[in-house]
Amino acid sequence: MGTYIVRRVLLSIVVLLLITIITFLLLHIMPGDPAAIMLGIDAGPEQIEALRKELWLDRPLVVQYGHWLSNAIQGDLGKSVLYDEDVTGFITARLPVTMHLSLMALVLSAVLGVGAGIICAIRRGRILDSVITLAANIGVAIPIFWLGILGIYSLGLKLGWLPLQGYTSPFDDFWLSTSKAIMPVICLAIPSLALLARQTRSSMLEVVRQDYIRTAWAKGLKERVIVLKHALKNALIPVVTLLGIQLRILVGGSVLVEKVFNVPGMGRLLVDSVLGKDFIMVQACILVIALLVLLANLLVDISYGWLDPRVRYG
Amino acid sequence: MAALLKVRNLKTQFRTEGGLVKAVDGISYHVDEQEIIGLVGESGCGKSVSQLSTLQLIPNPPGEVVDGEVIFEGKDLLKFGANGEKMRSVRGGKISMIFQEPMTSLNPVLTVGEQLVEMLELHLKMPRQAAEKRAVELLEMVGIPDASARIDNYPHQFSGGMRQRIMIAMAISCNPKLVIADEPTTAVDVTTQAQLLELMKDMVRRFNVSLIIVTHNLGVVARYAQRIYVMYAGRIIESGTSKDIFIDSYHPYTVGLLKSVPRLDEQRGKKLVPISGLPPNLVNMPDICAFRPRCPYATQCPGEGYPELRQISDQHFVACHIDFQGKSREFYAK
Repeated sequence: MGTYIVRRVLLSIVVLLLITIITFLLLHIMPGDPAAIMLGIDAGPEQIEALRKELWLDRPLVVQYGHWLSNAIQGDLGKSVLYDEDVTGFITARLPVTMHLSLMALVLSAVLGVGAGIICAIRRGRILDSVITLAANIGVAIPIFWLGILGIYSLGLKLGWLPLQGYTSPFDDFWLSTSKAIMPVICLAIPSLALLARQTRSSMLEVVRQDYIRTAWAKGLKERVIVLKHALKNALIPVVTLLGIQLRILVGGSVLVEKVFNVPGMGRLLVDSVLGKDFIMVQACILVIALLVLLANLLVDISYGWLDPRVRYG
Repeated sequence: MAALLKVRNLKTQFRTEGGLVKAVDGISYHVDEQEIIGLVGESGCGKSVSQLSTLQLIPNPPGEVVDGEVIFEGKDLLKFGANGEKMRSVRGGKISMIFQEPMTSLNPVLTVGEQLVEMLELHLKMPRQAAEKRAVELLEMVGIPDASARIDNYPHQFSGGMRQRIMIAMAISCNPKLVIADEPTTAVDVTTQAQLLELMKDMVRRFNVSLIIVTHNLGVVARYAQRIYVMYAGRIIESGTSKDIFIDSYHPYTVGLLKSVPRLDEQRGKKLVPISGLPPNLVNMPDICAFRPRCPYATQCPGEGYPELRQISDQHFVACHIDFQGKSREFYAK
């Protein structure tokens, strides 16, 4: 297992380097001179030239990359075009918000989704299975912004049970933070929860038909042991893949929920920066999101190894 | 010797889209203590289903044991709830099974040690450490080299023959009274087959257990089984001692099976005689002798309806309408 993890980590580092190269090149793929865009149409040639020097844009690409990378490693991702402030500051403010909501949504959907999937598989064809499967199908199909608006209207506006919008850090006021997080987290969790439930159900049903499950029954084991020890570990392999994809979607794609609930997270920062042509910020956001995806994939790979010895020794 | 297992009129049916399949249609057999029994028949004749039925391992739906008794140690196993505590203590503890596919019958994500140990902990209430020690002994006993290191390996690190040895170790681990081996050697090569069968025979002798060998391979049972049951289309059509079946075979189906096996003591170049036709579709079977469409003596067959098993000598029973005794078979064939 140790060598397997080391191998995976080394591979990730290679991918990491590729990511930095591609993100760095983003700036140069865009049409036009970055310095000219940053300064706007009123700038004279001398100003542009000065900024080009400051940004090392007059040097060879490789040197620029080295300079950018060494800055990035030290946490300096450049200055925002719109705000004239370090983008690192924005990111350190926004990232924890997104991570807080996303991780809560991920845990919620993983626990409930896998649990519901197992129940469906055990009670296949019974009423409970039909109800959960129907709910999961609805959950996959439902647009989350619509669900969010519905939640704000009913739970927030009409009933007054939950705050309408916004975000508070749990370290400032835990209860307020939690009550504000409930609706966004549920909205984020529902699609992944539904997907995970469906995936767990079908992969459990696939596994319980296998010969080794019949062997387990023939050994006289209890149903609980067969399901949780013999079947689940086998059934989780495709589920973990899906879970990794969900984490990526939760981190990068929470734009809708952040917009609806007015949460200052990464998704909104990215979209606002794109709209404001703040390409330094976009570059930084993409780098951070790519890093998170890389980390998620690494975790998924490591769990494969833990779940399936054939992967570990392969 | 006393009967260890007595199965009476066992019926297992499957509800399928095509109709009701009577996979096992009223079979009766018994196994004495320390006896080796062979259960022979073509693929799909219900031999595996009958064995899974006795342990209530038929997935329901679509399958269901609809009638019959399985008397084991004086109790009817079919009266126990399918996955209740009583049934579970029999499975693996008193009656264990070895399955056909060694490649897929072991759990790929658990070590073989774990798969052995969990049984010992469950049925013999062994503490973990003792169970681990016992697991190593069992693996050594079935001929796994370097067992104390191999115990932490996963099934994919073993060959097919080795996995089947592990299955045998699991089957005997909790000192059962009866081991059911369902086509134990079908998926392995011939040399391994012989080794595995010898191993099973040794284990049976050593631990005083009875053994049911389910197979379509007559050669396998000829050498080891004391008594043989021949199944066709969900019913037993002939039973008797090895000698009854192989020397004095009576039922045209049994005779046909034996003619289709190559023999070393026969003239070279002689052609094998296959049984013409195909086994019947078990959906909605009419109440006639199931072998009739393939029977070479069908035109001379006097009987209607399904022939009941009748005794023709001490232990020899056969389900056939035709009375061959005292007459040559050639007489009928004309």
